[in-house]
Amino acid sequence: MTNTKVKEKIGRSAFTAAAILCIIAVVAIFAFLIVKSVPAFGKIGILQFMFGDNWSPDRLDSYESPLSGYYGIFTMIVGTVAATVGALLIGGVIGYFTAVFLVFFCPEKLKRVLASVINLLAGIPSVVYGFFGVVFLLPLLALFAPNNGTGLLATSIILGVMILPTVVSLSRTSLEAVPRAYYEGAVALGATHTQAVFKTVVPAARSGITASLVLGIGRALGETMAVVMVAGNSPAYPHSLFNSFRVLTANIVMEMGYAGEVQEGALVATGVVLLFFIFLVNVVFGAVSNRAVKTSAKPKKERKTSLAGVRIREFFGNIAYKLKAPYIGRAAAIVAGCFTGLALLFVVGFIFVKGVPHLIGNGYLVFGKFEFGGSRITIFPAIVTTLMTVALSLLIAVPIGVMTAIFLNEYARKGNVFVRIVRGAIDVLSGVPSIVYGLFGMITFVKLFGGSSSILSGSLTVSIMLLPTIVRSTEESLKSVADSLREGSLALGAGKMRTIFKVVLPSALSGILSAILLSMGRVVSESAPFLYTMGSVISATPHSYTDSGATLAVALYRLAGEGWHINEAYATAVVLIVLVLALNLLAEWVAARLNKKLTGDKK
Amino acid sequence: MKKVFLRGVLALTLTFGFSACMGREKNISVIAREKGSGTREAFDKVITDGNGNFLEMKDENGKKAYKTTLEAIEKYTTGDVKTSVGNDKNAIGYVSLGALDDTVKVVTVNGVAPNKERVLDGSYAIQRPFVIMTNATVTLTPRAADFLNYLQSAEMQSHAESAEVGCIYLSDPEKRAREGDAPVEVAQWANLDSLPDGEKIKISGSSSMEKLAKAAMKGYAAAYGVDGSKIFSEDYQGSSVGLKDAENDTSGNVIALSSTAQTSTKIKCFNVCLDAVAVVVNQANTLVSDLTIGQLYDIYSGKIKKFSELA
Repeated sequence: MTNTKVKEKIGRSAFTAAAILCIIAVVAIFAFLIVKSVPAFGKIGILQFMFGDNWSPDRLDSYESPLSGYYGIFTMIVGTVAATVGALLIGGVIGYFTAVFLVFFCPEKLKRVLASVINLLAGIPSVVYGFFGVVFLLPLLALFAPNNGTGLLATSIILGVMILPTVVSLSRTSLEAVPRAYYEGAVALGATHTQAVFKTVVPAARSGITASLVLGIGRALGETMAVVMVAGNSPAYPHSLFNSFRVLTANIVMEMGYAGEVQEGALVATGVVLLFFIFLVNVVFGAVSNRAVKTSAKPKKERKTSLAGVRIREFFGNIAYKLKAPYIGRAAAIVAGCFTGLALLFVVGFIFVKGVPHLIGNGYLVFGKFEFGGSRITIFPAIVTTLMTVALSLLIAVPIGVMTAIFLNEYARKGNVFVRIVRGAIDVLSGVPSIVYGLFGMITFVKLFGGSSSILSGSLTVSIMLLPTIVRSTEESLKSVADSLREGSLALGAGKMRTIFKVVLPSALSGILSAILLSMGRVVSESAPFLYTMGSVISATPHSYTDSGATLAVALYRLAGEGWHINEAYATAVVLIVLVLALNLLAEWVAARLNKKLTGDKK
Repeated sequence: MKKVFLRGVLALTLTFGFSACMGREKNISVIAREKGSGTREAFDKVITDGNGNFLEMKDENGKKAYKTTLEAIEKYTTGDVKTSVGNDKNAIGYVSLGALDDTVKVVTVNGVAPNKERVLDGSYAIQRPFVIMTNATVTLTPRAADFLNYLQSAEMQSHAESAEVGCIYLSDPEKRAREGDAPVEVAQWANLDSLPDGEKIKISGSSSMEKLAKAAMKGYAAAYGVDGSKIFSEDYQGSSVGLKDAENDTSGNVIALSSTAQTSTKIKCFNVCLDAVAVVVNQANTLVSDLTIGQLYDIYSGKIKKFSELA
């Protein structure tokens, strides 16, 4: 008896410890951000920093002597906002119509294909998007742009495509959640299919759709690598569609390598400002989803409108009627749906067509042994580095993540303060942009391990980043395990630990597995957190975790940037896409099996 | 009827707009490096309008002022600059002498081409030293010390002047020393019986010196008949990172690279080579083959927006 009790206690404290680790991670990141940025804010002056539009850093500036550089990021704040709005205009609008198309106008067979195509779009690494921007989009825009195509338009298009999957999948969920009766009621009253969709179902899902747009904004704000490759990056206002400008994330990645004392502080402070924006977006998101709950519960109040208001509305209503708004909407939905599908096929197709011949024709590229000082390129070391990173980061993140999820779902009481803190911490972690993790890793882990970048530092950095994904999806799959199973096990005399390990976890296994696969995909496709923590030199195959190295995504970034090995860059992009898509497909398959099994159990 | 009319208008606007854009001479795409890059520093400190304004200077308050136009596109590797210039007929950029190849066209500056003689006698003005740095106080491991000796020896001449690297070897002890330091003689180096002991030597610093460093490492490893990747680890994140690594070195195995003169007293250093920063344009650019420093200032400060304005 006592033996089991001890076991129970140990288990409980282990799970709690994992949850505490999550909180520690958040606290560490924030402590680091504050410690590093407060002196910079103080030295530069918050207003000067936020609203100054002259960014002329001097890397010799130190905190002891008067500043010789100017540190104002206002142009970049404007740049970030403009790029985000642009992304929303392109990705948000197309995404919205694509979701409507998927749910209401798409033939059943096409629907499944399109839905998974869009999911795959989410998995493509951002460096690949950036690379595509450089080799295809910029030359195309240069045909009619006054410059080489660099600028706000190119950035908005790339970001727009990148936020598509987020917008589509969430809008789709909320459209599908609208009770069928709404649609049927409208049709029964004589509305056509199109009218019913646009006049009743879409308005009912409005807050869900807004929420999806807000999430899209969050993604666009934090994106780094793709933007750096197409925005031009001079610290100017984006005063036209085609001029060089810089966003906040780009500021960090461009100057981190060279930064002196105050400059480093200013870059961390840039990260803080970025986080502040993302925080704002999350607050809006919270407000929107709360409103969604409230509005569905309470009937809407009649809004009072003046006579003029009614007139105006009638006027626009008439125009809308004459233009047959819903029918335009239908056309837009169909066009958007096709566009989204084609966009992915085009990005992937373009890179495959360019890359596959080089991949096949050049066996050395993938399987070659690195020649020191040689001129041939091999990405074999990058593949090994990637695998080592995946292995170590999962080894760290999976146990902590799964145990935290177990704590949250099996032990914690709902509404407990501690639980709320843990959940809050995980929400915060998922909102931090990857470049900020990179900054954190560079200034903490890299310094801790003697100042040189290593695979160890990179893996530690990215494992923090994986926690939210793992915790959330594990929790979801734990929730889906029926309570009757737990009760049955407990009733038969099993302890809580035994119930968890013998009954709950096995039932939730495939959910956890798909979370792991998704995390693997994430590690493979990320590059921003690795640049300054793991090194970016394509060199010899690493032998230990203290060696530095470049993962595949970083190698692609380097190859695309160097310009000497563009064919190898295409081939690397192909390897990267195949790897990520395979992992995502596998994850989807595992998740589908889980669903089948669960519904099967019920029958 | 209406529809046909509307379509016509649309088609006309599109064709006119398009042809207007296509036919017009485009603005110069000014390609710069990011602030903090050694290449940019070398370029910015030389390019002047002749009235005391430089691309990088102190303003009336004694603070940093960058005069490079905000329309410039900032790239953060040498290769990036070359790709951009190579793909864009209207582009101008600057890269290290060693990075030149036939993807871009070199422009002479004040009539002087960036070659060995003209850089050594100082008539090609846009130049900078390649500096090798070590910590001033820590004792180097036998292996790092031996490699440093190799870097100081005449073995480096062939590496520096090889087609792959293409920088200008310095043999004059006066020029090899940092300003104010004692002259640095060319060292004697002969390979020992076996590779001296020590951990991996950490090479860190300027990306402009990557090729030179690689050639040196390869030559050194070959002299002992070992695999270079077993004795070196490399990281090219910029001169400032190299400086930091050398300053913070406690184990005596850091050899750092800087492509700009460093004044820190925490390091020992010497100039191994001179590098010129070459001004490059697109191969198809027939309008430009020579630019004065003043014209470069006008282009980079955004005063001249089109190549045709130069004539």
